[in-house]
Amino acid sequence: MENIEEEQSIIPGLPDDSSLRCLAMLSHGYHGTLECVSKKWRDLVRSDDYSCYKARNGWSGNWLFVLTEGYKNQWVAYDPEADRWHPLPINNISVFQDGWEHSGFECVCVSSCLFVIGGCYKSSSRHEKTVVTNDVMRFDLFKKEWKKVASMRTKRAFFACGVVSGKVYVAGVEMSWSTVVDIWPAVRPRKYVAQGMKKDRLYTVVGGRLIKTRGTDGGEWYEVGLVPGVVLPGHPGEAPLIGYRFEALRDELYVIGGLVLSLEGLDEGRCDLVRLSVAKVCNLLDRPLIWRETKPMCIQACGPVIGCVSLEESSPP
Amino acid sequence: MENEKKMITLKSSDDVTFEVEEAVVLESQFLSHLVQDCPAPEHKIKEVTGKILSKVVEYCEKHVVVVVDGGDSSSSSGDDLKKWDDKFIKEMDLSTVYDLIAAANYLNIQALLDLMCQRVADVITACKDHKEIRETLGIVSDYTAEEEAEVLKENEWAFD
Repeated sequence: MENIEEEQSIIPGLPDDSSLRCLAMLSHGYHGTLECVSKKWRDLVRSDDYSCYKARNGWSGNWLFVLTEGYKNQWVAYDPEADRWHPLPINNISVFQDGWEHSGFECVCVSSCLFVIGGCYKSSSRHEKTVVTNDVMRFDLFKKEWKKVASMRTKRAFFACGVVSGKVYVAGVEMSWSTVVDIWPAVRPRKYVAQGMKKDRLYTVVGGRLIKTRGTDGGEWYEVGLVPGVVLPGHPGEAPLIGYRFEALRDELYVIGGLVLSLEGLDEGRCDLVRLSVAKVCNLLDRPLIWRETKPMCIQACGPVIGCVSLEESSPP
Repeated sequence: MENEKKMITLKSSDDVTFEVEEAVVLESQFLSHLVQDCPAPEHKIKEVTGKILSKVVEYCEKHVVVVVDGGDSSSSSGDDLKKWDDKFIKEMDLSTVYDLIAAANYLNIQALLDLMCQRVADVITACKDHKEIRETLGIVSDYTAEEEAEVLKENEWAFD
């Protein structure tokens, strides 16, 4: 068996360095399929050669990182090229593992890494107190691994965070709910704000459903459409979506996860929550907005989204 | 100005000759150096066959023309070039693609190399699963049944 492995090239008929180039062009959503082709392919996709080759060429691909409530802090990622969700490796860096749910953190993407900053851990056991942290964890999307990086000086949960010229800024203290007041049409949490169209337009949701936009350099806000509702069996009209996240990636706007209230059992005194596992996407160039669904999130992730951020591959200079 | 029209003859491994403008040759880093260092009228390229060299010349001629014309309406000519590239690689069989990758590597034509590797990547993404990738590229899996079951389970999410 060893000999066969030695003899077969990565792609028969191609020198291995050329095969590496071909396979490095494939985005993260395809990597699972590639790993199943052969040991050689699996080892290549998991190798430093592969991740370094992608990094050197700036082939990060496009990513949408999502963490939903109640999924053991297990992040998932979406690849729009492949229309596929995959789980990120389990974050075994944090001292809080099973039974501690992470929330109130901020997440940003800087230089091909996802940073998960601060927040608090709530225990599933009632006797434990909620713990606020100053930990910062970094996921390197080329190496596909988590690392703990320098902590913040202060413990922070439910704070504000942004990236300017490759630097991460945090503001706000422990447990103070922050909103960005002066530039939004109304006071609103950051989760209903997205920056899209090559980062030069802002999009925000007003009153739960209305999507408005304007240029990042100012100007009037104007309406572009509505966050799509959900049609449930036995439900009159569309049920409003709550707990979703709103994010832009390339020229597309995403409405991810969330839940709807089903009134189906109301006669029997029941009110059911339906947790959604898909994201809805629309192209920002279309008017009116035309929404389509992505595949459902993997590992049964669904429902209210507690962390979400996008990363766009920068175009070659 | 006269230099622009300077013609150069390329000869393939199987002695097929191609007469091309110097600008076309300059698309290849390897040939640019060769032409500069050795001002002979004819250059033999032992590593590339006539069939593949004709494709290389076709590609380089197209890309030179567009770059020269592209001064005023660059975006539309960029689109045209992309359409031309798409047509160029469409229907091309894998063994020709592999030969062109080798030629682009040898002659150091980065854009052609990228286009051909992209074509291989597209062939892979068009496959519905790992089995179809094996079949299409002629790969023999070296997984044992247990190993395969394990890797499939690890990558459950990759399948519908």
